[in-house]
Amino acid sequence: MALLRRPLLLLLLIVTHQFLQSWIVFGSVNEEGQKQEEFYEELLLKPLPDRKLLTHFHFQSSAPPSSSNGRHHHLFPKAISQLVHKFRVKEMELSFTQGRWNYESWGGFDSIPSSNAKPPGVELWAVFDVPQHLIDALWKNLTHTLSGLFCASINFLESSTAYSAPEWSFPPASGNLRYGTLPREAVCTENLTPWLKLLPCRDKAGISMLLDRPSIYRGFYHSQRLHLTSTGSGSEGLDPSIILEQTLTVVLLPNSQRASLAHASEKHIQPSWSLSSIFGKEVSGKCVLAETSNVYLLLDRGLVAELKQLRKENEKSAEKVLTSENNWINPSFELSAKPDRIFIEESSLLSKNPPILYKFEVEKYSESEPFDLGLTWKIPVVWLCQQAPLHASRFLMGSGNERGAIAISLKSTQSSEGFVGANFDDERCELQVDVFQVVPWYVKVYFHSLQVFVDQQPKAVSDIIEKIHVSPSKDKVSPGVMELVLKLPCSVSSAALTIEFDKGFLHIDEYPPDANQGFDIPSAIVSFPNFHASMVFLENDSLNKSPLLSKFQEKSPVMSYTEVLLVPLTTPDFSMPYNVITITCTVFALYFGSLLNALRRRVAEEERFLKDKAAKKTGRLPLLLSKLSAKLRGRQSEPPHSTPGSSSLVNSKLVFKVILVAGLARVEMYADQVEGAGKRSVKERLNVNSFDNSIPRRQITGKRQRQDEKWEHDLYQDVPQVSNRKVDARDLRLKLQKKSLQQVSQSGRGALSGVRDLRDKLSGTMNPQPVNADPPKLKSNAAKPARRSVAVETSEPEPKKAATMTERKKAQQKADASVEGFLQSLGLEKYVITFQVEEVDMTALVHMTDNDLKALGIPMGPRKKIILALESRG
Amino acid sequence: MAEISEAHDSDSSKIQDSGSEAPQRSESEPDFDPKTMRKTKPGLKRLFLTFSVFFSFLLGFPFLWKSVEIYRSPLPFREIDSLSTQLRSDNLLFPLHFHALFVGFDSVPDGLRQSILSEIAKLASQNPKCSNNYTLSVTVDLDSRCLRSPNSSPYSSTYQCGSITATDFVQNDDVAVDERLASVFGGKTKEYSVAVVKGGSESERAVVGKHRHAWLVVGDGSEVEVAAVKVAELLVKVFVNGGREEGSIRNEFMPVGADGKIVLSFNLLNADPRDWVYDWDFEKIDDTLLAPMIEALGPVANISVESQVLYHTPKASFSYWNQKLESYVFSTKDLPFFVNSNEWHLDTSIAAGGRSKILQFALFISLFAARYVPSAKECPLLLQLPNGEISKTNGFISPMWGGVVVWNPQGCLKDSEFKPSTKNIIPIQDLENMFEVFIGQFRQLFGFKSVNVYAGASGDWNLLPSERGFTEWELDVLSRQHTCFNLHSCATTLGSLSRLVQSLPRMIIMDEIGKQVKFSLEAAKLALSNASSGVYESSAASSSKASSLAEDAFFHPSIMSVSYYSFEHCFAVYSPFFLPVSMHVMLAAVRELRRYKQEKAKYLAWKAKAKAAS
Repeated sequence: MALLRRPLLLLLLIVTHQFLQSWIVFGSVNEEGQKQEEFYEELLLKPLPDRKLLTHFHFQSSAPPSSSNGRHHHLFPKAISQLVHKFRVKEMELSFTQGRWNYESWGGFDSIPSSNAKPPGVELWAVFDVPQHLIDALWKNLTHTLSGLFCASINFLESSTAYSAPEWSFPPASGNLRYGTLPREAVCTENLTPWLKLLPCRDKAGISMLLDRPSIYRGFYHSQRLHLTSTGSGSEGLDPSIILEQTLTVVLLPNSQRASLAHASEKHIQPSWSLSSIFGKEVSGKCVLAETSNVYLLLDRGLVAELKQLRKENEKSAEKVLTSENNWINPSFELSAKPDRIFIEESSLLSKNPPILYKFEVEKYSESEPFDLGLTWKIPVVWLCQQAPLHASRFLMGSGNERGAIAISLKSTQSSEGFVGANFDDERCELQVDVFQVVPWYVKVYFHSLQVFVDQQPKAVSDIIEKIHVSPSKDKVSPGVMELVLKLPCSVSSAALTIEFDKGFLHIDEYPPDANQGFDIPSAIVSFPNFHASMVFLENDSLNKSPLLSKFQEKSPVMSYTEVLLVPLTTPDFSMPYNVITITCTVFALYFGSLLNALRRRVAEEERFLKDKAAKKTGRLPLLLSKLSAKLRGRQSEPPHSTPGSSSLVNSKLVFKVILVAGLARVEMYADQVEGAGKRSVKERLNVNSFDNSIPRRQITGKRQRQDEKWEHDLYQDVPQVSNRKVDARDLRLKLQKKSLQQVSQSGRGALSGVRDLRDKLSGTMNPQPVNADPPKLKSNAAKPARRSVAVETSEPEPKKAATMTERKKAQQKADASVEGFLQSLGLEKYVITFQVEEVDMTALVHMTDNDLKALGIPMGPRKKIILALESRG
Repeated sequence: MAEISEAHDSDSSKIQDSGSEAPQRSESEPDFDPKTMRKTKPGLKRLFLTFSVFFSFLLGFPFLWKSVEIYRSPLPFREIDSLSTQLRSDNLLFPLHFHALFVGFDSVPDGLRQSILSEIAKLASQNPKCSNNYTLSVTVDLDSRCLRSPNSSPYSSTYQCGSITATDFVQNDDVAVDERLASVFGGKTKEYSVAVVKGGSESERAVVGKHRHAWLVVGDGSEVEVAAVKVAELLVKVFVNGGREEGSIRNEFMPVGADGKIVLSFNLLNADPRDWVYDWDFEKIDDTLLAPMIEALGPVANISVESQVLYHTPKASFSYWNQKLESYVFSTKDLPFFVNSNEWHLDTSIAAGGRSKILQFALFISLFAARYVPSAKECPLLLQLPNGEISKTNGFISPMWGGVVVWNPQGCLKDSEFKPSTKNIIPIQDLENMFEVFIGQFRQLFGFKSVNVYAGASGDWNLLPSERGFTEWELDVLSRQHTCFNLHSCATTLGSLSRLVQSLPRMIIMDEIGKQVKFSLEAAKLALSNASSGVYESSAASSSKASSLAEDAFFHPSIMSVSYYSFEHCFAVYSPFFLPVSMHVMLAAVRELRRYKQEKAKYLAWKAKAKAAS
């Protein structure tokens, strides 16, 4: 009884619990029901030391937890929500990047570079909210969906050789993470358009109106990023809330007119810019759907320090000017719009020269009064961006197609006084560096060859590397992953890691279409987990919270990506397999044939026969061969006896056999290429091809000769076609000339000279065959039918004869020609064109009166001449 | 080389004879001619050798051929053919049971049955693809006893005599009558019943209920023949054809994806959010209006609903200002340009599978193009029918795509009062009205009428609308049509696959394709048998399965591999070896054979001579 009661109690408990839970859920629904989907748009501008400008667009959409996520949406993009829903994505980041973030001059310590500087190409990582064994399948489907959504070849990340599962070195470390990059993906506007489609206002209104494609893609670096996080478990019947963060980071060079005509002294003045000058557009009001729509201008620490310094030099008093409310017009620079608020970074540690942030609210501007922020520098300023503690770069060592080594070099940036100081309190100051490196399987890394150098001194690996996780690559299955934690002394000035590798062989169909370009090794990620980039700008109004500023406040670890490496692998000749097949088969066939013949041979008979033959007369070839062999042996030449004779004969047979079979093989290979090869006799073919074998170069000439033969053959048929073919074969430019030539030949004045003209012209532009090139040969070679047909034309210049011709076309040609000839005889060639235009042939000309000629526009003198000549001809 | 050796051979025989043997033999036999004779029997060793090689090549050839053969999963070509012939030869007959109940008439049921059947035969247009197999039973209810036609269906016998009287139809509440009839006829049977009732009311009433029955109330003096004609028309035109006109929309047309899924994607388009932003409470509508309909359509299609709000979506064409209507008018002939596919990102759904059908329903909010230029504002926007009238629903459909409804906000005429850039919610009343329009459009996409009257040749029938959007008999029509369409498409797909496979002998066919074809055929057979036994729902489900499997097989990615292992490829790989070797082998065999014959002739000649000499 008690046993029975217990489950009942349990059941009751469960039921009430469920009821309670659902009740709670219901309550929360009501509570959350007020929460709407939200959208924020922000833009951050930041002058960079190397005269460039960083523009960072930040759009954020959020969907609160609700039961209808993935189905019904008001602002949040449905596609993304469905993606999260379908693939159980917990966190995902997709970035499309072109160009490389310049860590030295654009900084490496801020929030912007540490979370927005991305490796070139596509980078995708995702954390899934499913058990381990399901992740890979979901990842594959996710890549396909994303590639469809963003018009990119993200589906190449589907193959298990393309992605990896970092354990702990990649910052959002978790077991359910998958990470993949496509370093070679070209990023273009096709990827931006679908990205923009996810914004409720697209690029129709608000800050996104600035996204002018030509100016963005002209930039030095642009990275288009999509980051989504879904929080809250979906177990309560509610779908998790999703925050979609879309950022576009562009580094542009403002093209100020002043820069071009700058004096030497003004060279250091930073270029002045305005939104309209860099994007060619202005912001006309905010996107009405956005909660906030702000533009920020950030002056970073170095710049602020420099400005203060300059100020001190100029006027000793003003210390607080920069930060006071009214400083947007100050001696060093001028802003074209009045900032709505000025923030000063509040981080306690680094209060010496805090960064300054100017905030502009786009809401206040409208179509009639567009927002166009401009910054004009008045004095030259030189500063440095804040650097990451170490600057990471990576390169390849070694040469050849067999092996090499990857080296990751870390150099201290020196400028890290402030933040290294934070760690000085410890007794043993150490700098922790995480390295995450993925290598494709065909780069076969020997992990035992890992070497560490600190300050150019080789160190024991165990001294420096605190933790290492390696998952070796499996051929054609998975890439190699190396995760390292380095502990470097704080005083380190340089450190280097080298690791050797062998280059693997790929299967023929694993090569990409541009196999000769080489293969990319994705960027290594070097992160500094003890350093966090965060900027705290305190906002007093909690209602109007800016997601960008709260993003800055987040403690994101400092990260940097190294360069992508290009490894040249041996590129095979892709016709190789067929060549190999052919040559092996030929060898086998030869072997087989000779074996068969050896089996069939009747040695005794042959010997007897040869003896008999030797008695009669010595063959020429055997004699020569025996002489040769004798010479080679350094003996006196002796008349070949039967035995050596037979052997030499066998040799010659063998040689012939080789030639025959090889020739046959070549013929087969070229059979489809060589047009009309079937017409020639086998013997001919063999001749040509045996040539080919002995001297491969000759093959080309042989081919050309064959072409010439064909060409000559064609000459028998008709002349114009010849020229046509030839022109086609040589150069398309000649087509035009050919046209005019045909006209000339039709006009028929002095046909021989005309034809010669044609030849001259042809030979003038290109170098055709000698047959056509020199007229004398043409003339002498009367047997050639080509010449004959030419001669036919030349021998009939007279109109009378032409009239007798039966073919109308030809008759007209002749008549036409004779008009020309006639005019030429009068020295009136320049009017030929007039007659041709009016299509006047000789028969018509005969009937022409003075008035007709006048109508043609021929002046009095020539007119009379023509009429006289016509009369005289009758 | 072979020639040379052959020449030597023939010569050598001569030499052999003259050189070594002749001197000895010439002494003994002076008439021995070494050119034409030989004394020893020619050896068979080399002949045997060459021929064994030759034959081993010949024998090896089939093995080689077998080894280079590509894998082709056997497909049931015969069954595919039989399926398509079965479908073509009109074997897909849906059994339909009609039951006509005459109350208050005093006539012979058999005669009535004959007259109705002859009318049905006149009206029934033979659908070339799917036909129906009618059975009709007629009952004449004379209060106390029933006269039944002799061949009544098993269902009609369930009718209890006298359970329907003319007084039931006196009330004007059609819904109540419908429920009453449903209880009488039993809602579960697959029989279509018509009750013809004489008397009760003066006015004639003809109503088709929500279930599978209709009733006709006629005046006291009306003829039974007139009623029979009307009943016959009802049975054929409404219950069988779903009340649609022939040829209005293709009969087999179904907006259902190949995998039997429909995604209804509702989009609220704010043309220009700078003027106003409207939002809707879609979840409520989804629960109250759409969910029953989706449930009702369950057997035909698996429907899911999505919604989103889009902004900055101008329409693609212009409207003009109509002074009389004080509104902007968009005429029907411009409708093809209304949908702006560049700006309306009515995305395909990620949640939907590859071949689901997505129907877009767009609610378009008319706009101010520019707020400060009153002439350019486009609100209210009305759609004009071809006959010049203004559309009542202010919407239109595009077959296989979806529908659009234009909604004009209330405040649009008095723009001075309107506060721009605020988020408004569409009033729930308006939204419900619009969703009724959407449901009407959805029905139209399925080919049904959105009006509630069927105007036949012999009179009108009121169609009682169902709160689920589709009445039972309409769903029956859909199921039948769906089954028919799917089976035919399955047969055509499989037929083209079998033709393709048979025409390309070097195409690799994976096992998977074979399996899919097999399952597809099985599902099709199941659908056929279900259809002929009248189980519409399951036949619709299995037919859609058959059709989607057939499509899967036809679009299997491995079919693309036909371009890879071509015969030319095979030839190019093997010919470099086999061509020269086969030449050797054949030449050797021929030569040896020839030589053997020659030598044998010589030997025989010598033998003959020797015989003659001895």
